Amino acid sequence: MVEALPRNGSVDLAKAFDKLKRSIWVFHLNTGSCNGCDIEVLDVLTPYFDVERFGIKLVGSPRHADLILLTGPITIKTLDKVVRAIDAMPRPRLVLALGSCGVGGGIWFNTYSTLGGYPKLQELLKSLGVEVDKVVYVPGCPVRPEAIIYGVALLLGLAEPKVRYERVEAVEG
Amino acid sequence: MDFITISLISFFAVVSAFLPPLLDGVERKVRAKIQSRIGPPTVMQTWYDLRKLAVKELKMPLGGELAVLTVFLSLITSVSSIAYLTYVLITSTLNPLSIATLIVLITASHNLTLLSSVSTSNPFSIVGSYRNVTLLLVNEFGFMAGFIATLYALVRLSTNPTPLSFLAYALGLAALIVSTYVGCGRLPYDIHEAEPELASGALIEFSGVALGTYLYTHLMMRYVFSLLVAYAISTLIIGFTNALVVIAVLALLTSIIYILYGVVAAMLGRTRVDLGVRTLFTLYVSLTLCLVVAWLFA
Repeated sequence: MVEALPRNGSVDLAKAFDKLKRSIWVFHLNTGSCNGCDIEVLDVLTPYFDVERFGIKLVGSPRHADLILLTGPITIKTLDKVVRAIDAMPRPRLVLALGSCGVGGGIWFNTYSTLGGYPKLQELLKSLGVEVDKVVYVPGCPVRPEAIIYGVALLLGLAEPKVRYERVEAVEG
Repeated sequence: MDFITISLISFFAVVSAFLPPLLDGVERKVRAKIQSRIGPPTVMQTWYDLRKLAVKELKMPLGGELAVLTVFLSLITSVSSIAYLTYVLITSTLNPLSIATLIVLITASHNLTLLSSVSTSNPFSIVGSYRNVTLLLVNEFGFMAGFIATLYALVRLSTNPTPLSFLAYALGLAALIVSTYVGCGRLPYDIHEAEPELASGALIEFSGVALGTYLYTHLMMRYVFSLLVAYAISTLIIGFTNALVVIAVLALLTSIIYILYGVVAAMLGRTRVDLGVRTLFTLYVSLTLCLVVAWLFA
């Protein structure tokens, strides 16, 4: 994974990604979630789970962040803000798509008012020229705090994945 | 000045440049302990954070070239203030000129940091910075009054140690401790850290190496303020003997004061910015009035 990251101008992405393993700053991005996953994200940041012991820190600006904790099915109303927040992150930029909605839209996978999960957003980001260096999907409704920590470990290559993400298209009718 | 003294000053200046992030790591561990947490994996965590920021992409804010330049200028000023402070303390060359130079260097570093956030095109960053300006306007007054009063009281104590001279020293030291605590940007005066949570403030537009430099400068300034308090306390207790003892005592006492400030911050909560300004103003005016009375009778 580390070797696969190219250079981006003056930034050596592989080297920068390697440094993230000891220090990763996260930005919480709600894209129209029901708040179930957001409460679990807050749970991860409490003294009980204490993610600072893994070098994880919550920051208030996407400019400071290495990783976006994305919750919700990405509603059309939030779409431009979501794109701008991800674009504001310095590279290497990583995304953790959380919960059923973040992973694939959940029950909102094909409604008129949502984009339907992160995979569709990634296509849009690619068409806009916004590169995301790595994505990990953490399903669950809501997602469990332990799963979020495991997702970060997967993202940084500190743990081996147990399952593989496979995207399937819903058949109408 | 002989070669050994120059070497000692250089050594202490270099150590002072490396110590602040390490002390911040210790402070984070202590704070976690108070909050019944484990905290960062090692005391080197702040170094790891800075190292990561140094290799990350620098997203230049719109019209932010001047902002990034002033961040680097601020770092240069804070390094200069550490080096000059070390020279002054070790060679005991405290005179009106050196005190004025020190105050200018320390306040310049602060003001350059503020200027960097005012220079961006982000209106939220500018609004947040002006909150910090309001706080600093009051605090700089307290810092100058406390610093000068403490030094003056130390001189008086060496020639005429009366109870009123001790009282003047205690009042000056109190003003110095409060003003350096506020200058360190700790709770509830941690505006630069608190503001990003409201999506505004000095830090909001910085990323990569610019953010790393800003944070490193901030830690250096914390160290400088702790060093000043350490000097004010250690001079009264041990007096000056030789350069090596001065260095050892200052390094140890500075580290202790740095951590103590962190412990106090861990036990305090946030407050409204305007309340903070009002409280500080009342405190500094009261302390200054008491100082004047103590001096008149001493």
